[in-house]
Order: sequence, then structure tokens, then C-alpha cells
Amino acid sequence: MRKSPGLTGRTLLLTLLTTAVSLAAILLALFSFSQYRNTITHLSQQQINTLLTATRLVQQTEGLMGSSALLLQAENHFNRRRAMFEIADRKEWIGRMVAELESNLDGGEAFARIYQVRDQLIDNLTKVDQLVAQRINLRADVFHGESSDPDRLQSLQLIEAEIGELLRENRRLATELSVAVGFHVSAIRSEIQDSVQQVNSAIATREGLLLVAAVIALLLMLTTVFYINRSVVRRVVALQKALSQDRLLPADIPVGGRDEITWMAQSIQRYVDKINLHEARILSMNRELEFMATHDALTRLSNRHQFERDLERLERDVGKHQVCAVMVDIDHFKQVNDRFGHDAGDQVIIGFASRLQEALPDQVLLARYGGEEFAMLFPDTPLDGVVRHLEQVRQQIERLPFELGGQLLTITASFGVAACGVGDLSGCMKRADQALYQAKASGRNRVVAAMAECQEGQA
Amino acid sequence: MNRGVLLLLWCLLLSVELMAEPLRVELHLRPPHLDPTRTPAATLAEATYNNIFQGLTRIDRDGQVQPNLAHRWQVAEDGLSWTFELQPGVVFHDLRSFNAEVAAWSIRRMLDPAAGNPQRHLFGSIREVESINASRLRLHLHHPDGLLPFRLGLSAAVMVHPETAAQNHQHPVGTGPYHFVSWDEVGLRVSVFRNYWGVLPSIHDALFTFTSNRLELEAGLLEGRIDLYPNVSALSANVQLSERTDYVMQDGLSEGQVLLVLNHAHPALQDVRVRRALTHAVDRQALLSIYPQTSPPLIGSHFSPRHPAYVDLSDLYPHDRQQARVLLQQAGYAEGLQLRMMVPPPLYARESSLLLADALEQVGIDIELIRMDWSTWLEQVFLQRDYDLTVIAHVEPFDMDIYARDDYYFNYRNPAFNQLWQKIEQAVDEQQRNQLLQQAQKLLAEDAAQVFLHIKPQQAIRKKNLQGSWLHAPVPAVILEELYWR
Repeated sequence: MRKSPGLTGRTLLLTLLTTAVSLAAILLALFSFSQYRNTITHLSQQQINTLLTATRLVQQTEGLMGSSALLLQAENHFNRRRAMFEIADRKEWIGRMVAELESNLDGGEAFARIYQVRDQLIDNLTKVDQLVAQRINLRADVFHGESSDPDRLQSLQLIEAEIGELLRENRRLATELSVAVGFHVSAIRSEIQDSVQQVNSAIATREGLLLVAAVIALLLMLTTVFYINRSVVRRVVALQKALSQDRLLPADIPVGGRDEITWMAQSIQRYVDKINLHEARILSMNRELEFMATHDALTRLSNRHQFERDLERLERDVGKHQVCAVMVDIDHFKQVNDRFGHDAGDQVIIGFASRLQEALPDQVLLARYGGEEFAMLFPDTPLDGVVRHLEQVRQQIERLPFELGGQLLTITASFGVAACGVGDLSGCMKRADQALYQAKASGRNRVVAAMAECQEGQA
Repeated sequence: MNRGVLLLLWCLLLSVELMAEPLRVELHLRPPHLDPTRTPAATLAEATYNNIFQGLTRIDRDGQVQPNLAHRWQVAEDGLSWTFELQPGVVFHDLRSFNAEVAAWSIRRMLDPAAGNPQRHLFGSIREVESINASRLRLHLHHPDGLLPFRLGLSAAVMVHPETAAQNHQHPVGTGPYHFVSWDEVGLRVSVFRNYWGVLPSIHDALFTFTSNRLELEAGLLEGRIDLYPNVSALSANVQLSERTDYVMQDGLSEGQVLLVLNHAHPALQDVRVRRALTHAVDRQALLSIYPQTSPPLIGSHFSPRHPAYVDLSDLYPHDRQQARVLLQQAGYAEGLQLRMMVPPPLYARESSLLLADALEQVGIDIELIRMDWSTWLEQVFLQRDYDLTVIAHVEPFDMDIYARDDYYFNYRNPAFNQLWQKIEQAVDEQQRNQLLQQAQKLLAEDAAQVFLHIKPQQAIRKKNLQGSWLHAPVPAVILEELYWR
């Protein structure tokens, strides 16, 4: 027989499926989280930083103009140098920020232009610095009155004009720088938006998948519950109902299917079968015991005890029946026993009883009354009919000898008959016994009726 | 239940995210490499001292010597040998064991002139290094040296392993509570060392950044990206920063003397009259205006006012332009003198350079200001000695001996001082020693060896809820182990 997966296997399969779907959902969620995290990290570390850098770059570009103003207003070398320090700081930082942007974005020529514009700006500022230094020195000379010739005043004017020219140029360059950087800011901004949108759509897809996984897990769970209810609970209940019947037959136990419950039901069925078998044997033994208590073991006729119970029963409704009692005794039976032994005597008794039984109608009660003595009750038969019938029986017995150990032995019997009156069966039995006695006394092998009483009974 | 699991995972991820944010400490000057036994760069000491590397002893926030890798030590009666009992169970970050053999190797390496240890001269008293057994080390001396335990606590005297020492400049391996993670253009990352022999610190990850650009640094502070900046003193934005509720300013002092360093190899600067003229030309009190919120003590020699032997010589050369001009005239520089002033990136150096240039120009000295980044300064000024003037703070404690060193970038040669210093080194009696130290201070001041300006303030700015940072800086150090968030 092919081994079926059984309840355990199927339950395990369903559980595994449910677990797998749940695990898949959890893994999906984990994966989504990690992706989400990566994107967030990328956004915060890369893109936000790039955006911040770009913003700082715009700030520093504008700050360069502020530093130019400081330089322009420098009335002494200290302030001039301080402004140049600041300008150098801005130049260096702008350079690094542009390099950072360049490594994070693919700008190509735009970056080259930014560097170019920055360097032009710084070159111009260095020129302005030199002019401002000259201006400071010239002004100091003029202030100290060391020299007030018109040449110096004129060169001061020239310097102012040149500074003005350079600053206008710088203003243009700064604007150009701001525009170039602004272009990148906008590019980063849209990149960030794209990233966010991608994350959002990915999350939406994942949400759908998670939902589907949750529904599948739920369905699987319900299937498991339904399956367990159908293939376990309901069958166990049916089994329990079957087992609680009074007269349980193996056929009543449901044994459909090919799993553990089936195997259990089959075991129970075999067990019930065995119990029923034992019960039948006990019943048959009881019947045997009961038979043995009411019948004679040798002849299997009713024994005296049973006969007396029948007598009592008849006595209760004797009014309805006309009854004759008969006592029978095998003649000279003691000699049979003495001559042929008890076994042969038993054979004679068995044969005698059997001939009596065959010869008598079914409704006649026949019993072995003791030893070689038998008793009969003839219901609904008149005394003379009984006597006639008995006479035929007596002759049959006398005519047909018994075979005992190769010898033929003629057996005769004496019959005493009495017709019974109402409520006097036991008295009637005594009279039959007296009639038997008379038959014995008058030479045996005859039927003697206790006439008068019987006729009274008949009347 | 699934939702519970997801929530748990989410919290876990969040906590990982939160934990991933390291403490950011700004140190301004990018060190040339990561081996503190081979560079005098104080910011490397700040980043690595007692974080990555540890010495036999350590200097605490009050300048006191404390046990470290040696938990106990004893000096012989004649003062000529010191025995150190080593801390058991100490391992390096690569899990190699620390023992007396390793310690002896480290000290011998420190004493080896070829190893280029910037503080080697401090350990001249050591005659022989002996490892008695795995946990006991003995140092035999030429002469008694009471400062030995203090010196062994300095950042250049940290313990390294023979197997990894050669790589420490790129990948430092020490015994400290933090191990090296990375070193790139962003900075130096360290992370807590799980097998640390001491108590594991509360801060797990830290990032040291080195932003020399003032504008960028200010932007970093203003945007709140920096958690601790131990040396904010000369930042012009610190007035605004001190008013912010998320930052706290700490006013402390370092052991550092801010000097206008003179290259004694320059013909003009060899003349003591020129040096004195320079000192008279500078208004040191006015120079303190570069610190918007603090007023550190002025000095007149190379010595810390916190030391008991200190003599106040700050008034020796009062601000006097006329006197300066006279001295220059006497020295033959009436027609002017041209000098280059190298400007390293520290803010105090930068700001004071502007004022100093102005002050010197007022007495007829033309100054060319040359700005340079930190590695260029270390290379050109400190190693090549190619400079005329420069402004720098000497933050190593008790480092007067540098005037006795012929190989030092000052190019200062003074046999009288050398003799005096030898006596100081060998002085056993503290009182006698302090008297000699006072003589040394006077000698340097009278010789106008440098233009001694002031003690460098240690004004730190930190996030309000970051606790445990040092107020003063007796040695350059940012002890991460003692920091915690409240």
C-alpha cells in the first residue's frame, strides 16, 4: 500500500505554507525597509549634502562680493589684508565645494566654467587689492601733506576709475557664477524629487505585495482551520457518537479515509469486533448453563424441576385446558444395569426417552422425573385418547428391542395415567403415580388409568 | 503579531540609524599623518591621546600625573632607577598583548634619534631600559629626573607594538578605548574598542574633522554640525555662537605660549637690538582683541604662569614705537627692513599676524604675509626652517628646553642658556631648580629670544548636552572616554 502523507504531513504542509508566506512578507518588509533606508541615507548623505554644498556655494559667491566691499573700503593695510584673507578663504572653500559638486554630479563643461569665472573673479580682486594698496599709500601721502602735486591726485582718480571698472566686471562675473551654480541647485533639487518619487512608488508597490501576502496568509490560515475542522474535529465527533451507541457493531464505526484518524477508527473497529465476539460467547455459555439447569443432561429432556415449574404454570390456567398426567417407569431396569452395566443402562434410558419423544405429539410435556422414571402431561386430550395413545407407545417399545453390545434387549414400561381436575395438578400427579403403581403391581408392561377421577375431570 | 515584529524591526533600524551618528570633534589643523610619536602636531595628540594610544602614565585635566598602562611605580632611593608595574590584561587593537617587552621596545624606539620622536629630548635622562618580567619595567637613569612620570604621560611617549609601529602613520594601533576606523578627506573616524582593558566609554563612535578654512569652520558651527571644538578662541563668530542655546562656551587656558617666532638664522634677527625693537613695536595688550570673549595672561618669557617658578616679565619691553625705531636705527636698519611672516592656519595665528604686521610696519619694517596650510608650514617652517617670522603657540607643557636644542627650528644658539638648562635638568632640589628656572626665564626675556605674546586661551565650544570635556588643556587632549551625552 502506498504510504499516504497522513494528517501530520498535511497539517505540516499547511503550516509550512502559512509560515513561508508570513516569512516572505516579513522579508519583503525588511527588504523594503533596507531599501528605504538606503535611499534615505543616500538622500541625506549625498543629495542633501550636495544641495547644502550648492547652497553654501551660492552663499560664498555672494559673500565674495561682500568681501570685495570690505576690500574696497579698506582705509589701511590691516583691513585690506584682512579682506584679502577672507577672499582667499572664500576662494579656497569655493574651489573645494565646486570639486565636491563635480564629483557628485555630472556637469562637465559647466564646472569648468565655474572654475574659470571664480579664477577671473579672484584675479580681478587681486588687482583690486594692489590698487587699494596703492590708494592707501597715496592717500597717506596726501594726508600727511608730504606731497600734494596734481599728478598724485590724478593717479588717485585713475586708480578709482580702474577699481570701478574691475568691480563692475566682478559684479557681472558673480552673477554668472550664481547662475551657473543655481543651475546645479535646480538639477539636484529635481534629482531629490525623482529619488523621493521613486521611493514612493516602490513603497506603494511593496504595500500592495505586502497586502497580497497578508491576504494569502489569512486564507491559508482559514484553510488550515477548515481542514482541521473537517478532517479532525468532525470525524472525532462522529467517532464519539458512534462509540456512545448501546449496541455497537463494527460496521457502525466510520473508517473512511487514509490517515491517522482512519487508523485509529480501524483499531477501535477491531476492538469492538472482539468485544462483540466475546459477548456472544458469554451469552451462549449462559444459555447452555440455563439449559443444563432445567434439563436432564442424559436425555436432554426437561428435568423434574423444570417439569414441576411447567406444572405450576399449567396449574394457573388449568381451567382452560383439559389435562392428563402420566407417570412412566421402565420395567426391571435394575436388572439392565446389573447385567449390562450403567453405561448400557444410560443407553437404554437415552433410547427410551428418544422413542417416547418421537411417539408423542409436540404439545405433550415430557420430562425425566428421576432414575428410570418419566412424567408427561397431555393437554387438551381426553383420558381415553391418552390411554389409547400410550398403549400404542407401549406396544412400539415392546416390539422394538434395544441393541446393547451386539445383543438385542426387549424393554417394557409401565404407564400410570390420571385425568386432572381444576387446581389439582399435584394431586393428579399423585394419582397417576398410584396408577403406575397399580400397573407395576398388576404385572408391568401395561397402561393403567385412574378412571373415576379422570372422568370427573372430564365432566 | 506580525505588526509587533515589524515595529520592533523598525525601532531596531532607527536605533541603528541613531547610533550611526558619530560624535563630531573639530580640531581645525589636519595633522600630516597619524603617528603621534613622529610629529609635533598638537591636533594629532588631541585626536589620539588616550583615545587610540596610551602611555605608561597619563596627565589628567588638572595637569596631574595618573596611572595608565603602569598602575604603580617606584623610584629608587638614589633616584637613578624607576620601576613600573604594568596593568595586566592589556591588548592592542589587533589583540596583540601589551607587556614589559613591548613597553621597553616602545621606549627604546622613542630614544632612537632615527625614529624622529618630537619629544625625544625630554627623555635624555634615560640610560637603559630593562624589562624585568612580563609586568615589570625598570628605567635606569644617568641622573635623577623627577619629571619622568609626567613626561611618560605625554602624547609622544605612548606605547606602540613592534609589529604595527611602522604602519601607525596610516593605520594607528594602540591600547586605548577607541580603535582606528578610517582616515580620509572627511577626517579621522574611531570606534569603541570592545576588548579595552578599562571601562568601556559611553560615546561609541567619533569623527575628528580638521577644517582649516575659517569660513567653512564657522559655517559648520553655525549649522550645528560640530559637537565639540576645543579651540574656538579666536573665532570672530564666537560672540554670536555663545548666544545660541544649543552651544556652551568654556573659558579655559592651555599651557601654550603664543609666540612671534623669530628665525635666529636671519642676519637682522641675530641682532638682539632688532629683536628687542620688534618686541617694543608690538602692543601685546591690544593683540588680545583677537579673542572676543576672553583675556588670557600676557607673558614675557617662555614659561607658564601656572608653574610655581613663574616670573612675570611681561613688562620688560613696554609698547614703545619710538624706542623700537631707535633700536632699529642703532642696528643699522633705519632705512627699513623687509621680513616674511609665515601665517599658519590656526585662527589666533592668522588674526594676530594681521595685527603684528600692522604693528611692525608702523615702526618701518615691511612685512610680507604668506599664508600656508598646516602641512606646508610643518614642512617649510618647522622642518626646513625657511622663514623669517611666524606666529605659533607652543602647547607642549614645560618645553623651555627647546631653546637648548640646536636642531630646533628657532635656530637659537645661546651657550649660557644651554649651560643653565643642563643645571636645571640635573637639579634634584625643587627650590634650587625653581631658582634656576627663574634665571632661565629672565635670560630668554633679556635676550628677546622671541616676541613672547600671551598664553593661548583654551576656549572650547560644545553642544549643551555634551558633558565631560576639559576646561583647561594642561596637555593637548580631547579625552573621548570622559565625554558623555546628557
